Amino acid sequence: MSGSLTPAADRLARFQEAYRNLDLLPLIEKRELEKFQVAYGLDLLAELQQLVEDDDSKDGKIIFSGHRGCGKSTLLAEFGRQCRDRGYFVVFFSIADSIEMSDVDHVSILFAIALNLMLEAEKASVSIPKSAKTAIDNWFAKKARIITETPLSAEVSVGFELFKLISGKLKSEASVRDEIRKEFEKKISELVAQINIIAAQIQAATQQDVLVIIDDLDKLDLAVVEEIYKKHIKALFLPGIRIIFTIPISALRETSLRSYITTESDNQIVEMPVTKTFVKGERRKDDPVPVAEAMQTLCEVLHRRIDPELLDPEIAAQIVFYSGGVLRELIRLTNVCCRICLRSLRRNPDQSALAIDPIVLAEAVKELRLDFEMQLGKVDYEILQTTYEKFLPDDPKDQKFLDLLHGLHVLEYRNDEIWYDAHPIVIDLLKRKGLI
Amino acid sequence: MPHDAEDIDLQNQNAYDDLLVAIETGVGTLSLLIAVCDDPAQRDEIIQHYEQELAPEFEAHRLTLARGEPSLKAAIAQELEKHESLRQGGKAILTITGTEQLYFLTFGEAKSEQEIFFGYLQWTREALREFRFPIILWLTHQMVANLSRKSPDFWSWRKGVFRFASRKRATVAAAEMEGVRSALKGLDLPEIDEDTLLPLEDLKALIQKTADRNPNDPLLAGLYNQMGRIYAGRLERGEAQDYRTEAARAIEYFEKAISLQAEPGQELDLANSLNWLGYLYKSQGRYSEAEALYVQALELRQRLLGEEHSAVANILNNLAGLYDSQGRYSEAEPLYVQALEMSKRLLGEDHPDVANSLNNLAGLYESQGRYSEAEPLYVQALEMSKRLLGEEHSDVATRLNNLAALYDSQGRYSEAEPLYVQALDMSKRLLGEDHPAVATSLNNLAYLYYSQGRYSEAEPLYVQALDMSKRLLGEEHPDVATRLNNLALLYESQGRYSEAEPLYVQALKNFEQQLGENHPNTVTVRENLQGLQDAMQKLQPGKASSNLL
Repeated sequence: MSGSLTPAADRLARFQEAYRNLDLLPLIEKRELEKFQVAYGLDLLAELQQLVEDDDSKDGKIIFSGHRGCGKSTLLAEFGRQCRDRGYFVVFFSIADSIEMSDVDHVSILFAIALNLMLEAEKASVSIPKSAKTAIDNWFAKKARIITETPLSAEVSVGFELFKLISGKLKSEASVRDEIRKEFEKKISELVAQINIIAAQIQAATQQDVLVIIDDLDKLDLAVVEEIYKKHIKALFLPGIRIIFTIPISALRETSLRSYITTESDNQIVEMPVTKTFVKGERRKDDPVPVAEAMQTLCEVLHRRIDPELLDPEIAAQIVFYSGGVLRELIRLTNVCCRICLRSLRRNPDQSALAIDPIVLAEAVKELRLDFEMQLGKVDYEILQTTYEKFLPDDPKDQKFLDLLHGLHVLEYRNDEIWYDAHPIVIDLLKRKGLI
Repeated sequence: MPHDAEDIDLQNQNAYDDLLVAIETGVGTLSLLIAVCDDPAQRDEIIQHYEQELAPEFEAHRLTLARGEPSLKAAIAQELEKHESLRQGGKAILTITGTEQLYFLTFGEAKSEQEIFFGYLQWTREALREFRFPIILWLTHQMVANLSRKSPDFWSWRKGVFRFASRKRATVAAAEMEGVRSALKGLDLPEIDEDTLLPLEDLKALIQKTADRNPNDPLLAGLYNQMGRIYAGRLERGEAQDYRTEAARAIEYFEKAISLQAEPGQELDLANSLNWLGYLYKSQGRYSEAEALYVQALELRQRLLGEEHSAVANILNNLAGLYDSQGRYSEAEPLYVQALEMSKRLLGEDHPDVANSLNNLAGLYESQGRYSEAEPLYVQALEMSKRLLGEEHSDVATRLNNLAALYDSQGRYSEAEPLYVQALDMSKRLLGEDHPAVATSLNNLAYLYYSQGRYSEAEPLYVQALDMSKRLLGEEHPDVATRLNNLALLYESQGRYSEAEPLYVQALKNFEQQLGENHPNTVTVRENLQGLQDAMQKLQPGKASSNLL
């Protein structure tokens, strides 16, 4: 296809393609996965798999956590597929697609589970006995106050559309969410019973165990997360099926909350660490040597998306260095580099050998440095300084520190112990300010 | 800082081209592009520019967020409803403006509009995936910092941040600038803390609502005070759209506040308003009015807070600065010393306020020709400011400028020049091209050239500084008289007597009115004019006994 292009036009086309490939969104669709997926987090997948498989009670709850942009959603989606292949009936959904954020609470999460079970069952054409199906339909219609619009007689014909309709209402209409909350607040057991009934129908029809994965619960405000997990964790864990919940990593650093969750989940907490590109302290050396395996994986991620001619392995390694091991930041930085090259080609199209060089990388790093810098105040700098010096802040529970963790200014790494470091671009910033 | 050493035009051109590349290359996918610009007129120009450049290939859509329910997703969904072409997935760009108008206050609701907006962004970004267009969200610098904190997940999906620096920040002023040395003595203004002040529009609306409900509401005085501080802060930071108008507004609001704060029990608030109003009067050259206010505020604070208090030190400094400006050096010195000692005791040796006090005292010594006493204080203040505030800070620019001026006065030109140039560049970067502090820097550099006999280099800088001061501060401001005098002096040195004379005359008239007959500046200009006239009478070229200010 590129045979007819001039070398310069070909360069432009390659950069454009790389730019498009370097998209920040998680890999969910099959096409993207086939093209870009790099095996990573294999041990995590194995860990999750083991927790699911070894769960004789068949209703284990797993808490999954990790830094923003470290690849949680992509990994969970991959895990979902693997489980499907192993014969589980997997229901994977994003809470953000189901409910308005301000209204997320334990009731709406449970209702969303019930609803998504049905949606998935419809999609997979699970054959539920007609009478049972009608009863379930009626239950939903009644609870979601759909009944007035679709008289009972019409319900069967509404059929497939019913759950989409409810799903739409749940997302967009506060009154519906209010009704549901009022309805179930004092009757959680009824809602849980319904979930269990649906799950039982599905398991009976498909002979598969149900596994629910709820993504994006970690996007909630910390206060909401606390409310949900602290006060209502028992309710959330009531359904008799396997469920994987997500939670922000900063919430897990809150000790009292962690102890609740540890107890209730029977210590089934899986944390996805940032890819450790350097061992502790190595970054401080003049000539740091990266962890070979991690480096290789991350470079592989890049080379799936960008033509090696545009990105020299040496520069790729530097990009990995600046990413701190966070996948989304890795992609972002490379994307910005491509954009700078595209700008350069726009002004001067005759650069048939243009590639990402150290100058381009420096400009891209500067752009991201501004993004980081903008959020920082005096106290933040002090915390960052200490974290840089001691690999640990003075007070890991300090809200300011948790915010820095949340904003990726500070990254958490682990092997036997947990240690922290400032994001490499933030380190750059601290150096420029003469703070370290 | 949003703009580094780069030239503003280059930065803006890069940002613009980056934005175009992101739009063109990201076609067919969701691209969340965040464009940042503080000046609405400039922003609209940029939008128009890219819309034209991308037409007809891309269909341009402009959206504003609904007040009350400012959801980005809802706004886009609505636009899709309206346009078949968008639903068909045609090439289009969606530009979203109006975020800066969202209220920060809650007005009794559970959440403010801004909070709702950020909440929606954080949560609905998943739902945005279905919109396969470039979405260009325009924000101000202040908003973008908030967004990154309050909608971290949306933020992490950004495809780029495109920062446009304001070409002209119609400006400000504040610190003092008299004399060629224009010490720009830092005033203590600890009350300016932009993070804690409400946005202007919010506050206006709040005042309106409060006054509508009860014109005598006890809360109004505080609101007026805050309004005055917002305007004063804008003046200080170079954000005022029109310096003179906003300065007048600031004064008006403080006067309103003061009239309401005369009631017993509000003395401290009153002192605060008096201090601010004094500061504003002083920056307008209304020295005697400022003095009365400062004295009153000082008495109130001493009575209510005790002699030893940072708020007392603050006013001592301001009052001393006022005396200094008026040439009342012997009255200024003990006050400066007192303020400096008190700040050290209360805040420790290492503190921006201490740096400020050192700087002020140095300026006073310099005014009196006590150069050897001034230098170590200036150097100390500069070092401290750099360390505490970072290299790139308006205080640092001021200190550089002051030290340079000192060297200049001592004839140490080669040491002075690089400091002046650095100060000028930094002021331009931080405050914009059009700013009283920039005018001062220009003036100072011009004076340096003049001192070295580099007249042709000095003239354009003087003219520029004069024009800028007139425009920003008004014809009556003492700074303008200073600039007039300096330019006249240059002309005189070049033998251009007929051009010099009217400038001296104007400068003298101005100083007599603003500073009084006996102010050192007035005396100097009078002597200069006299010298010129003598020279003209004798038709004898060459320099008379002129004195620079």
